[in-house]
Amino acid sequence: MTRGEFLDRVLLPLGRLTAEERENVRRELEEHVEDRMEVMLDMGWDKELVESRCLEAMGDPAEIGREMAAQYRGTGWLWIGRAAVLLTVVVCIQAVLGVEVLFNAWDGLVVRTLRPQITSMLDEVEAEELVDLRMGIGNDVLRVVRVSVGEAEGQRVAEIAMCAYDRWPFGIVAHNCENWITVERRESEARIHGGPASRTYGAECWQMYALPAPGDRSVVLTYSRYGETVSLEVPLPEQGGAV
Amino acid sequence: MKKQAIEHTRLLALSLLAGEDMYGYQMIVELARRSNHTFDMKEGTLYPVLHGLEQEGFVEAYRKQAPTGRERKYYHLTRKGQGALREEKQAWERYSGAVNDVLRGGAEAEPV
Amino acid sequence: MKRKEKCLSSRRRRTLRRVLIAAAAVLLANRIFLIGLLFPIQALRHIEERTGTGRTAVVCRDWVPEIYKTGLVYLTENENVTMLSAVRLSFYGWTEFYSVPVDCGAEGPIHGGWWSFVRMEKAGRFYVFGRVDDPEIAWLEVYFMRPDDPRGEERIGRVHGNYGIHRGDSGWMEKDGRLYFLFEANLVDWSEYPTGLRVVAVGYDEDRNVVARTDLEQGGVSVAQ
Repeated sequence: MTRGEFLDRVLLPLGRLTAEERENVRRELEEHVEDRMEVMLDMGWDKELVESRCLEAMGDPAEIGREMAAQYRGTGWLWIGRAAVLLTVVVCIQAVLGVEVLFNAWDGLVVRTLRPQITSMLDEVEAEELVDLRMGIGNDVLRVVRVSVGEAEGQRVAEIAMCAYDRWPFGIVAHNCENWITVERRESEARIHGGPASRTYGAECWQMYALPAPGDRSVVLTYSRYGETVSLEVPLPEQGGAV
Repeated sequence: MKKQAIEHTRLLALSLLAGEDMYGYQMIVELARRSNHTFDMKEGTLYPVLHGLEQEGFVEAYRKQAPTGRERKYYHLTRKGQGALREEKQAWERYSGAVNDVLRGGAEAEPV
Repeated sequence: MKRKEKCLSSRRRRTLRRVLIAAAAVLLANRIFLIGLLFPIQALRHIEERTGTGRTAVVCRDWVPEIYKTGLVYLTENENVTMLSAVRLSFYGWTEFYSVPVDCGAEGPIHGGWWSFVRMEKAGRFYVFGRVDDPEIAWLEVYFMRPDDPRGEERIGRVHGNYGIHRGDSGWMEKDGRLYFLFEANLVDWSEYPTGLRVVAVGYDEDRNVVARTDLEQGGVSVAQ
């Protein structure tokens, strides 16, 4: 019996092992025979005899194979592992196909850490101030980034540029938050058309308008929804506040 | 008998690995040296035992260059394996103690 | 142990590693990509985030194979919200496909909403749901009205059945000490609904006296292929 035949016989009952496991068994036994042969050759054994002597010392290949097969009974682990690999692959494909969703996360990060660009719809700006006022609304955060006073559609208005994002950096912001926000002194005639509100799962940005009365130094934003009512006082820019 | 032989091989393998990490052939040589060639086991039967210990988490395997310059599969006794070794050692000591007691008892009874 | 070398893993260790990698991938997909949800309740959590309702508890769940083979409709609630949500299993895992949150924060005897789903003018479902805060209400009836009708009182579908529900019926459910209702209206002709259908709930006491009358939240009609 040659070394190859011996190893084939050991591997014969190992059909339920994975290819990698079988290869590991073959390699290990082959290395053992190799080590032993080297020692015997160093001791002056006849080259022709060495291999057969070594294989004889290894024992019955069928029995080694049977015993080895008995050690690999955990097929449950094998299937759990395969299911986990499949799940990982599917999730990776989903992620690749849905990669544009990352823009949501990006938007969420931008509006919470940087100063998002929100177009001003004022025809003429009297005064403008960049602010950073935040207030929790539901699971989200409302952030006012700019307050301006100026002319729009023939009226003198205060424009409040704001955005909302989820408390969790990669979370989902509630849609159409502005529907539940009112601005004090937002009179019915102040029907200024806001710029295009940007809406993604990660962030929403929009403007709201108020008609400041003479002497007003601030306007108040109030969020009221699902039993929660919170307000935020937004100071008007110095120049435009007192009229 | 065969099962008992495997149990003994397990104990011997765990004991050998308690000292240092070894690869299969090294373990056979070390076993022969330490037992003064008393254990004349078929060398191939060591591997199913080692693989069984590995599956049970008693030993971990890794590949490393042996002093011969070739890469070999080394086995390392885990903490779990150390616990198993302690238990198997105690079981063996109980067993061999009982055998000794019987033998001693037999020897003492002889003159009566 | 000197294991800077190549580690060889047993089946169990390899499996544990793979499971950990899969769990990390799923968590990443769930949190960052908002996809790969393994359980329908996770899609419901997304709906809560998107509608801003805060965490809600499930009152009941309904399987809706006519809409989607894997479609599930949830009635959920918290102190200030009653919500009907629909989720389904897609290639991207469990995803939301509709939700009608009803704000129950303000005082009122009945808070409710409706949602109708039509699958290419074939079968569909028409859900009416809500919360009853007036303990006197023992009987609830729902009227469907055309907003374009000058009288505004025409009862569409009234002829097809009596959409009433009584305390003690299976559609009345109690959760966290509050009373909820959910039932289906089996309207026959799904194609003729005006888009701005008005749905009104009328609450009666045990003696059939009208106790409350409320317009239910516009839920809308969803149409799919």
